[in-house]
Amino acid sequence: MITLFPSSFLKIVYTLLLWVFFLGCATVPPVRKEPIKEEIPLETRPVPKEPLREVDLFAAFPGKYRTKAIDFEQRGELRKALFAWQVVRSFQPDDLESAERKKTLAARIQSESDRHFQAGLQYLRKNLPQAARKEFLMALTYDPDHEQSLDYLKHKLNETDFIRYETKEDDTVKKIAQKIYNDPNKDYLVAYLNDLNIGAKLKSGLTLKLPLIESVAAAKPVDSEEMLSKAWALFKAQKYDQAVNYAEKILEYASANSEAKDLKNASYYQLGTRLLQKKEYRESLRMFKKVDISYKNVREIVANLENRLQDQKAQAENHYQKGVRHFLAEELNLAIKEWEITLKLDPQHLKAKKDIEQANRLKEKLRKIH
Amino acid sequence: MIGNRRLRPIGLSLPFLWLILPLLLLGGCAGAPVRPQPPLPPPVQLPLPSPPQVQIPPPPQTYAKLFPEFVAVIAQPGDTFSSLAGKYLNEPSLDWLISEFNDSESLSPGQELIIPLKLPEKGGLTFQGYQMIPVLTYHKFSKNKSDNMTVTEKAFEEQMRFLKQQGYRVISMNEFFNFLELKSPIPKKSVVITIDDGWRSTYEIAFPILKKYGYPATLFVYTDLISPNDETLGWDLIRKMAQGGIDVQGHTKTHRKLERSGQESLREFFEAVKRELTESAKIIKRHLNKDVQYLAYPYGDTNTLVIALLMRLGYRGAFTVERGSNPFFTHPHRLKRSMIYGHFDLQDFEKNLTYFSDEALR
Repeated sequence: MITLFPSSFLKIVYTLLLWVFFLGCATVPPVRKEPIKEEIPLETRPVPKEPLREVDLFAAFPGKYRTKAIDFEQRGELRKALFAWQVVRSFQPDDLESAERKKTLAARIQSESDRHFQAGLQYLRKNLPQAARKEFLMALTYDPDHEQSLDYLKHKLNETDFIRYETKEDDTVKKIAQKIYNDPNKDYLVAYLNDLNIGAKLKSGLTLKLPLIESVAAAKPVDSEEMLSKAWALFKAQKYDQAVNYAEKILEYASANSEAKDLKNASYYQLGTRLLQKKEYRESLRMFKKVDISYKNVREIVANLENRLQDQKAQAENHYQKGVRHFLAEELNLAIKEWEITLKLDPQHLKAKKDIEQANRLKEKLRKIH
Repeated sequence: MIGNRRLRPIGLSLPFLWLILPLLLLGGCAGAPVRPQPPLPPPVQLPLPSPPQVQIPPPPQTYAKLFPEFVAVIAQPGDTFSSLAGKYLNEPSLDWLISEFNDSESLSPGQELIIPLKLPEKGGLTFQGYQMIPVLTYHKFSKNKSDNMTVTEKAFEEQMRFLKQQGYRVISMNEFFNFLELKSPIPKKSVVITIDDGWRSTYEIAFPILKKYGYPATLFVYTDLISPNDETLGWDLIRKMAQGGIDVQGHTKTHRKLERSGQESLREFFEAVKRELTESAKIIKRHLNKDVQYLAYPYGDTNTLVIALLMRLGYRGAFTVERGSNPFFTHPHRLKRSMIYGHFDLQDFEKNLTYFSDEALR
């Protein structure tokens, strides 16, 4: 074997190579170097496959949104700042600053929205709805999910012409109409608008929503004069039923209108008298009872009519008993005749009505047999 | 000799050394540990592009990372706000939301975007003020005649073009109510178009122009007017319009004022209003097989009793003719509408398009 180099030279080379080896490795960049690429036309450029390159595409997001977040915070746009910090945090889950800022901002947003909501309530108590509205809007700007503020803005501030009524034990629709509208006959409003049956017993604790209707009920009061003149014209023409309709309409929205009250009394009085002359005592009494008791001789007429009707009732009972006797004697036609008189005197006599039907059925059976 | 002996083995192994050392050098360097990368933020959803075919241009790709509250996107060639809205919000018409959120009117490849997946601001409410929605009202149209209730074809066309040019978005009645009820946002410059009564010119003049611009509109008909003749619409034409994007809603049966007259008792008034509302709704249902949800008050008049009835009958909202725009907290049965008169020029028209109240809240 031929020795090519002297031993000292080999030692130096060997040592140098070892140094190159170690130094070379130590200075190699830790991340794999990007290969130098030629510019490739877009349509033929290979799509990067390494995940590292794709993550790099979003590298600017956290920094950009960190700057935005700080800017929003400085401008007091807390929700926008919170969102921007959320973006940072989503990209950098280990970022402590964004975690801390998010926590602080969330607490601040909560406290600011509550503070403005309470301020809104205070303004409402002072009867300052516009100032209250502004506070509720502020509360919602801080926290768009602040439900109480939303409820006030959308409902309670807007529906001042509605009232909420909570039903109590023994409430009826009529009683509620009396309480709210001072008129039990407005029961149809209470019932329809709250989907209730007029006659049904109400459970306690139901919340009813009822419109305040003073403004509606008082519609066109200026027309009352025109209506009154029309009504008096009808009265003079002895069209008492039409005149009384006008009077009642006026009184519905202007219950203190004395002329309308006079017209109503006069009309019902005339209607009652007309029925009295026809000996229709029961209907006559109904009309007189609609007239103020202090009007003319109404008190006396009502008393007389009630006595008369009481007598009639007694007479009706006599005729009914006569009819029963005829029936037992198998004199069906006579029985029916007596019971018909009974009903004429007392239309409410239930037995007479039933017995007539029974007697007629019996007559029909007998006719078939014969 | 000693040196030779000593050197012999080294001398013998030198070529081997020359081979081994570079290998070691390369192997050592190649095997050097790569510094560990920071963990990728979960969840990562990358629609990885499929390898492009040589010579065939690749389809437009979107680079995106999906997070629970938002999507981060780097726009690619071919992306539009509309395509991104379709892809990430399941609704291409929400293009404006991405545009407004990123404060950008146009999109170019490489642009970084954040697409929020939750409503950014409910009711368009900010510290600087709140969003308002103008609702425009028309009645009749004519080729060349104009008065308070009649707008010429030319003026109507100009007004619709103006809306487009100025960046307004005409939204449907349902979109408007979804905004009022805070169910979904709408573009900043949103407008609602309504036409009252049921005149034939709605079909002959307004409808083609609305179709041309792709605008939805609501037609409030009072059903006693509807009968086919030279002046008024019949149900066949109304049906055609309904199929072409016109929403047909209620304007009562007889167009009576919903105000109690001195001639009627409260009870009579109550029953009459109930009839006006229920009968007209039944007629529309019979002809168009749709439920009426909205009402335009005849002459714009209303009161608490009428509103209570509307709520009881399930109407979602109702309109007066009080001029002005509507924020989300307006009472849904007292909404404002602005009548557009025949003599309005574009300046007058624009005055009715207020879309933001700059009532500073702090």
